[in-house]
Amino acid sequence: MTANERKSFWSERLPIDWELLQHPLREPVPYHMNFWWFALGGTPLILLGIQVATGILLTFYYVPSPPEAYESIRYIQNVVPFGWWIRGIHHWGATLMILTVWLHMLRVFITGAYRRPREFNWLIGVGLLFATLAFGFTGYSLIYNQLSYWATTVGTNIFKDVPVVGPLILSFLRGGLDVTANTLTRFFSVHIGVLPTVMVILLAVHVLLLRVHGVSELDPKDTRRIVFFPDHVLTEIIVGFYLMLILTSLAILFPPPLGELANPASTPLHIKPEWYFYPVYRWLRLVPGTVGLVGAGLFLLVLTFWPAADGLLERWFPKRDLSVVLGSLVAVTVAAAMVWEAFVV
Amino acid sequence: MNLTIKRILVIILAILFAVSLVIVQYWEITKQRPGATPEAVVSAESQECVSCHEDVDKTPNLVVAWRSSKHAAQGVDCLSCHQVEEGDWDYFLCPGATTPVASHPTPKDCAECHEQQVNEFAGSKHGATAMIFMSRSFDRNVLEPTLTTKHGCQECHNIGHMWPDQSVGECDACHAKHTFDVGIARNPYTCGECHIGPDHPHIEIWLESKHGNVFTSFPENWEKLSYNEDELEVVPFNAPTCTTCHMDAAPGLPATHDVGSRLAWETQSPFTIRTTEAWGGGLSWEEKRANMKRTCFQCHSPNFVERYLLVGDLSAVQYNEIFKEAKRWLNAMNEAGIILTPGFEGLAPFTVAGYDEEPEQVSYHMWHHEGRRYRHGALMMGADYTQWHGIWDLQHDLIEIIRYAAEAGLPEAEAWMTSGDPAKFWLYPFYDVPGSAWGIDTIAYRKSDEHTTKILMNRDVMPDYWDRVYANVQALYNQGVLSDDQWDLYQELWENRDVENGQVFPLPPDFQVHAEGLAADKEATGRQVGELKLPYGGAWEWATGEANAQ
Amino acid sequence: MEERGMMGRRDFLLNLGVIGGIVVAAGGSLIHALRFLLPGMARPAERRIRVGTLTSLSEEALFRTIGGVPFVLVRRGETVRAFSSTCTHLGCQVKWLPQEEKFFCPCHLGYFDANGVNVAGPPPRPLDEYKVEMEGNNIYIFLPLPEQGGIEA
Repeated sequence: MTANERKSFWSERLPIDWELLQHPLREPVPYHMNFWWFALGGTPLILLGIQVATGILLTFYYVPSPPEAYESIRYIQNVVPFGWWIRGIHHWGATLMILTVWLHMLRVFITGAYRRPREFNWLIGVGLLFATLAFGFTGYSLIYNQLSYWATTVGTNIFKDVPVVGPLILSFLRGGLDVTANTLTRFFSVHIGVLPTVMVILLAVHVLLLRVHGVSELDPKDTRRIVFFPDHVLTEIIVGFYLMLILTSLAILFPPPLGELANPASTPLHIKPEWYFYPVYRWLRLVPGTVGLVGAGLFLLVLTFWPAADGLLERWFPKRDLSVVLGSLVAVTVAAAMVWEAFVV
Repeated sequence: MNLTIKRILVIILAILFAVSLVIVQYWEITKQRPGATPEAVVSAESQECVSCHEDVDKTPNLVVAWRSSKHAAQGVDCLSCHQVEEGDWDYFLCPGATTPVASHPTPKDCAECHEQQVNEFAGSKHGATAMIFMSRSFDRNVLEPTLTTKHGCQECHNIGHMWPDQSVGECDACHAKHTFDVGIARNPYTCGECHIGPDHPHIEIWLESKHGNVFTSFPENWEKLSYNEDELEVVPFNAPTCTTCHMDAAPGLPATHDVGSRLAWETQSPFTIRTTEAWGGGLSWEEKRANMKRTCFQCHSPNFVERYLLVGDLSAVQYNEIFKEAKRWLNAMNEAGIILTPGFEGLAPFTVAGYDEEPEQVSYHMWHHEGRRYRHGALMMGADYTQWHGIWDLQHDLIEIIRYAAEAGLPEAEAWMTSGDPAKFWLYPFYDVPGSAWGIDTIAYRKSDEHTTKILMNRDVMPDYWDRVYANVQALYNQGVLSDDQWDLYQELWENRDVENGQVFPLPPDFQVHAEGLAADKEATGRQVGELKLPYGGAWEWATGEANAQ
Repeated sequence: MEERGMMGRRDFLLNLGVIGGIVVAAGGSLIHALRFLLPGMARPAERRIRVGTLTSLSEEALFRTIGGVPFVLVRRGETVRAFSSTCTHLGCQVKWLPQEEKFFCPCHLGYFDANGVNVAGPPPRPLDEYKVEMEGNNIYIFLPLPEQGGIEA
């Protein structure tokens, strides 16, 4: 069989235009993409890959039923070879993913990359943010330790105050009136089935829109370009290696805690959610239930439809770039609330 | 950043990552595995014991049990407890071994680490159980050969063994060796090894109580018995075992190895007394009762607890009047020369001369068996032990004593025996509480106070029943046997007795149905039993009648 | 030409380094991940256990189970051998036939002789043998610790 024959053998069976497929790889992207902080979106994507891989591995041992859930994680952490490493990466990967999603969002906000014609992609991006946070929340609920149990209890109870449908939502989230085995299994299902599906679909649209719009220009006068492959791909590979090194170091130096087995009869004296919920936790502790919920809902609403709000701002105050000021203010406030919750209270 | 630099960076990072994977590998090999099956740590000096005793012929399960213990995981091994010095009373050299061991570790060895528990235990009633062997007026020597006590009374009373090293107790009586699992110590069947049978059926009382029923209904409760008190505020199950109330920690109450430190009554003795400060860590009985109530409050409301205990307390002292009455007849017989046992006068329940006469044995049963069953049942929710194995047997034996006196010709006894008055069965003073712990009495067929009295007394006497009862309880209070709070509660219930004793209300229709049912049963008995005449009698009838006739 | 050749060779080497680096990293991670999926591969070490004395051991085979590991001791004169009593075919427990001086597996009629060698039937290999050490009269064998799979809940 000659090379030509082989080629025709494969092209006959897989009639794909490889030239066309390679085309997107050659896409020129702005020069600023060479800098990590302008290409932050790829980082959570890499982390998602890491989370999927480690997550699938963890399901080989995880038992989604109380109290075996806790026992199985202990088993993963202490007995299974490299279990501590896989779980450590998954734990810290989640933390970094949420952090980098926020950073990506902040960069998009500050540089105004959500503006026309990219408003829809902002919307999808917000969807991805919610999905990521939901991943985090359902994820640490699965451990079935005290933090899991009470975070799940408190976290789901927040929806109790939603007018009219509150009890329905609560019952839907918990699979009953209380946090039970039902809650654990549905959180598990959501964490490994529903959310990944939602996330992959949103991501596909997110990336597709990015590619059809092209990467937004930072400075229209800068016409320098680099090629997606290999230039940008190499950047992402470098980021990937950095991430794995950081995650492995964190897994060794700061192994994720196991905590105590959930005890529905006793709430620990000091109970807090994971750090990324600190701002909303702080907020909900500052104001009464309904106000807190409406406030948080309003914030999320504005965040979601920010491109439209920004349009209004521009129309009313055409001379001032209020969005940067507002965005910075919100970012500083959120960070301050987090620090307050983490260190002060 | 140009492509070359990027590629070099990738290569450097790849190398770094490969190094990190090697570090991960190293970490994996050397990692500590807390929470994994604990590896027993054997010291060099104990290694000899372990390697030999793992032999199939050398009690290998002893090592298996120890390996599964917390001791093993924490490096407490053979010689930690079996350490010995030359000249020690239990110095022992295993055949073929080089290291001598103590053949019997004592509480002194346990106290190396568990000093507080050992001290509490030594001062407790459990620690005092060996005392019975020293008593000169000892009751059972007269009845039993000493051989029989070795696998008998000693098995239990050795929990308070006294050792040449001056320590007291036998820790593994409850903390079964060599696991020393606290779950075994908390298991009611451990207490039930001794607290069982006719003289103090505590495990039976627990099993028949709501406590035991609920506990045993949830199999997972058994697995929770090993819980760590330092980590929990309330007990992790829905009903208590023996230790939950008598020993384990409760909110505001530390765990104790002094089983008497929560007991307000001495109810194993011939007469019920409030516990003295000599027992239970120097606490007054009120303080001990307060301790016990802390365990109750994990599940019960104060209202229920106080009422339950008031009824229980009065039941416990009610026994005294019954046994005093028995003693009165015994003393009367002694004075009349019917039984002549020295040292059996007054309240003395024992006799050095032995239980050679029937009334003496009966009186022994009264306090040592039935009296305890009645008192312990009443205080620990054992209804059947309060009733049929308790008060019924007590009354029965009291009558036995009087019957003996009557047959021996004691005039007062003869008069009592021939009396037809149903009130004669209440020979002794009595206490009573309006209502019960479960709320207001609802005796449906009660028509009036007088009617209630009639039910209680089997006859229409004592219209001032509640006044008499009140005066008796007051006398008890004046003697310091009831606390101020209990007396207050009693007065409150007494003042409110019209309500507490139940309302007077029309009988429900069901009552008529039941009455008709009983009438039908009576009629059926007459027909099925009374009217039935069989054509042939028994062999005796044949032997004495028919056969002779032929 | 020459300069381009230099460039080309450097490029080639760099690309090789990049691809090699990625392959090594991915491969290394994969090996760890595979070990994660194969917990049973971590055979715990053997332990040395005294199982009895030569004088107390009869000529017959002596079946024992220690810590969940079944084994059999066979004495021939002064030598003692220890075999796993698990048939090498499909894992049943073998029996000793004193008359024939053979091990017999009832599941698929496999036979092993007194040296543990498979002599008839389907067993593919001799019975596993455990190392025996004699110290005077004492018999010690090296027995693997039983595997613990999964959580103990």
